[in-house]
Amino acid sequence: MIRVTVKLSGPLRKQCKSTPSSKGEEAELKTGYTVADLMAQYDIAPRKAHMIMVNRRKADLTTTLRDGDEVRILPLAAGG
Amino acid sequence: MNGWMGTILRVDLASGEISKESLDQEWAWAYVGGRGLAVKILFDELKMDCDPLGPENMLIFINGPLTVTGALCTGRYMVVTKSPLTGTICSSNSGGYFPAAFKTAGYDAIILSGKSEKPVYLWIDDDHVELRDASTIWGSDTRSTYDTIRKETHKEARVACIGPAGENLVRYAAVINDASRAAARSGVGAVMGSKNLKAVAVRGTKGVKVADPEELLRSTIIADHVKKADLGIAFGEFGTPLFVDVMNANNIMPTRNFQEGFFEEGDEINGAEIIDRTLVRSKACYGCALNCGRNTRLPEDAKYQGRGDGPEYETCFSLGSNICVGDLEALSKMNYLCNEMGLDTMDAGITLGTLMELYEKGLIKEEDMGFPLPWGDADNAIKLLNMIAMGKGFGQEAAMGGKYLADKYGAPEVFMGSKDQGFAGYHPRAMVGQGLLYATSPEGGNHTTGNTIQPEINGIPEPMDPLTSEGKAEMVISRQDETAFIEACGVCLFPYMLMEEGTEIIAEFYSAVVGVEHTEDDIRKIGERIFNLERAFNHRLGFTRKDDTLPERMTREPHTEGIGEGNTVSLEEMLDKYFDLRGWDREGVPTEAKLKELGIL
Repeated sequence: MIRVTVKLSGPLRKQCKSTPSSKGEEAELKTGYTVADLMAQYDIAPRKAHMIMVNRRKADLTTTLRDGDEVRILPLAAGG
Repeated sequence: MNGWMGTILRVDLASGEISKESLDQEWAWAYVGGRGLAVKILFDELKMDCDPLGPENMLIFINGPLTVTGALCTGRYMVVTKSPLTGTICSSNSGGYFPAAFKTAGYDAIILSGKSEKPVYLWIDDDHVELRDASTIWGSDTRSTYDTIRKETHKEARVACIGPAGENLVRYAAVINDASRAAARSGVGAVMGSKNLKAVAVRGTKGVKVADPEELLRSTIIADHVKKADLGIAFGEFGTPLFVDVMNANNIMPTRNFQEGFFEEGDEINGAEIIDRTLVRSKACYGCALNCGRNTRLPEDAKYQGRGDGPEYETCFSLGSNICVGDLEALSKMNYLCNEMGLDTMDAGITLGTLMELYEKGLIKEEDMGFPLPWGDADNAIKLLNMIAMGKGFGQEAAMGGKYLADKYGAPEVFMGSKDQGFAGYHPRAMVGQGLLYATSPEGGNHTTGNTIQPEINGIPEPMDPLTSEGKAEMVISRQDETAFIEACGVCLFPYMLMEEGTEIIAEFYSAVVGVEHTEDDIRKIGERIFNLERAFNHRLGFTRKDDTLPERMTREPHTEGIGEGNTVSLEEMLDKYFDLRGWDREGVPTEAKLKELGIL
């Protein structure tokens, strides 16, 4: 098993397992799990993830997660 | 007339003379309204070399033909003048409910000229227009000015006013309407203050005629579509501070005076934190489908106290990450203070960022300011904002803005702006098209003459590498021209930016309102005409390529760790292509052929 920090931004924060927050929570995953597996665990449809970052680098659904990673899933942006 | 009210109000503040004239329909077809029609009026009438804070400058309040119609998000107006901050044409826009009252009182524009001998405010009650004494409210903050004028006039009056910052001619003073919405940028509040004009108060009860009301009913369907879209839902729930997370993730949230693009404490000042800690309710402007405004209050046990609107994303950047304040309560307090005093939160933050970097480098000292000003020092930032607005001590110097301070203290390279106006909250080193946009904006650092988030960050309509120059000149031109048209219509940029088909939809709305079919190409051409006239206006004042600059921090210093690490902006290469595509010469001067093609000459 590995442990990662999950940060869900904007409306996605409602999918947190603990109190809804964008500050992050720990998740336990099976070794070899990808971002897609993590999102399935959090009931997040792939189309809702407009941007995925792992350790502040762009990632995608196929990115394999490692112990200690920080995963951030973000909505679309505008300005203002 | 469909869409337009057909009347322009003129007020000579020196003589007190008030007159009304018919809108020139030919000009309206060519320049629409808002910043488009206003720059045409100024281009023809303004004494170009006038002092922006002298009586010869003109100040135009203006709405557009789509304002207060059934189109989408129609509660906007603009304040257009020659800026005391940049010396260029400027257009500062705002929402709220003042724009609806202004238009339904029966006017497309109010043109203010001269300087009143004593403080006055303008009271417009439909056809009745008068100047009233403002000596008892001169010196008041914007909230009490709003309350007092409503008591003196009508409980339904809508008020746009200045605070002490405008009266004291702070170069980045704002006009605040509805007690919290800001036509913030470029020092339009200082121009108002220079004329001894404290406020414009309006009550409007008239209707706006449109050519095809049935077609406009479609907007309610589109509004529903926007509200249900992912970004629409997020906008309504989190407001613009939602984008703190996105900008931070993309390494474009300007931090430590643009030295970096990532703020470690971003999670402390984002949309979610506002909901959890300070939000009272979300707010909408007139005719809005999104509700992105935030009314907030600081908790009773907080160090700082207050209630007001905001912060918006731009303030989370300017008074947050840019000066390393990761305390939402301190940030909110600074925001309330700026609204009450009538200061632009953005250039206030740029000024503070400039000073903090000068202080860090030892170029400005505690004895110069009267206190230390290290990164993140919210207490002294609050103290200085008060001094700036009230014209006290070192505040008088800081009132001149970041460029002035950087020059005076021997480090011009630490001012983060273009044409002397501070940048918005998007770091060009990891979003280089935005750098080109800042450099070529008629009023310098600015996010409402277009932004490049949709193509560069969202990848809509097609993925675009934010780190390279490829395709950026074409994209920036397109964004600038479309934005010029949308703003000229007197509507909010947001919904049209949110929809991929935004340009098509506004062309349909415009056609339905004015009763003459306009295609997307037609409205782009109008936008291009407006943008070129603004450029021609600035060129008359001597602005050329030499002024389309970015600080060396953008063009030479490599971007810091994260997305775009090591990147810089290749501005000169993009400018050549941009000027060629614009039909301007390589000095950035619109050619006679281009101006003739657009019907400007």
